[in-house]
Amino acid sequence: MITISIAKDFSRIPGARYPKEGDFSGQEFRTNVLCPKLKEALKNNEKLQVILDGTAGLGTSFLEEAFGGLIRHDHISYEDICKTLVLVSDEDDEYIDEINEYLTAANEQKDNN
Amino acid sequence: MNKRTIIEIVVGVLLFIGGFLVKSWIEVGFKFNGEVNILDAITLIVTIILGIYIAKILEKEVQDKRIEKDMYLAKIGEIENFIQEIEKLINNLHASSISYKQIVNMEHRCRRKRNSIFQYIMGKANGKMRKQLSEYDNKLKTDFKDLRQMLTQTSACDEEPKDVIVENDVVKYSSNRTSEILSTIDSVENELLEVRVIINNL
Repeated sequence: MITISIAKDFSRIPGARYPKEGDFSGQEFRTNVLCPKLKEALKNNEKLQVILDGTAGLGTSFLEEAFGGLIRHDHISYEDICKTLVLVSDEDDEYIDEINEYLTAANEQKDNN
Repeated sequence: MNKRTIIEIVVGVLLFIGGFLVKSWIEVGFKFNGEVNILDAITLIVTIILGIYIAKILEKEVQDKRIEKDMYLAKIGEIENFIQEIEKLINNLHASSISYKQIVNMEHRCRRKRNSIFQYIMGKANGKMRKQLSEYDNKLKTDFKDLRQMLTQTSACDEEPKDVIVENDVVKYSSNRTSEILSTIDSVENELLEVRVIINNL
């Protein structure tokens, strides 16, 4: 299993959606950390564990862009994401529900287009 | 020996003396012949001890309940403080710039505090109170979720107008969004007040 921690591997104080909105954006996290690791996990048929704990807070824009963007921009299928991604949050399990909602919404949006 | 114990002893002695004085002034129609039945004496002593013991236990129970209530209310106060801080930031939006990360952090801490406090209180509550608290827990969960979206969700597309704009980590809200945020904060405050009333009726 591959493990990434947003706090340790990216930033303890993540920002908003796009780099133009400030540093440590959701787009940067997806492009530089999440997407490469997810592709590696898919290639090796492994699970990718994402630890959400340890940050000063994760904004909705950050999460939507980071996870919803996997479907919208990186064209990774919803099924591949669901079978590979393992979300971990002991501090705030509402983040996990929220990410699942963003993945579902991005998938529905892709199907509608 | 504390002040209260001294007062209790003094009152006890005064009542005892008072009793003798009353007895000497009023003819009550019976006489004390100087003999006491040992069983009566034991019964009297046991009754007095039980009376004091029960009074102490009841007093302690009342005190413990009050302390518990105050503790819960203080915890609710902690959530209210966070909410008021967010409200203050939003109200001063035009006077000073707000960091998006600061808003995210405050919302995160406030929500975590709410979750942990309600988890604790719900664990202690039972029956009707638990049901009432659960109702407000769900209402607050929904309001906090809405508040989170309103405070931290920036648009994914470039369509105008935008309700939330973030530039170099400085966040700006449209007047409509500001009103929505403040209305939701009002709802949260009202719900927290209702929770206070429920806890007070424990």
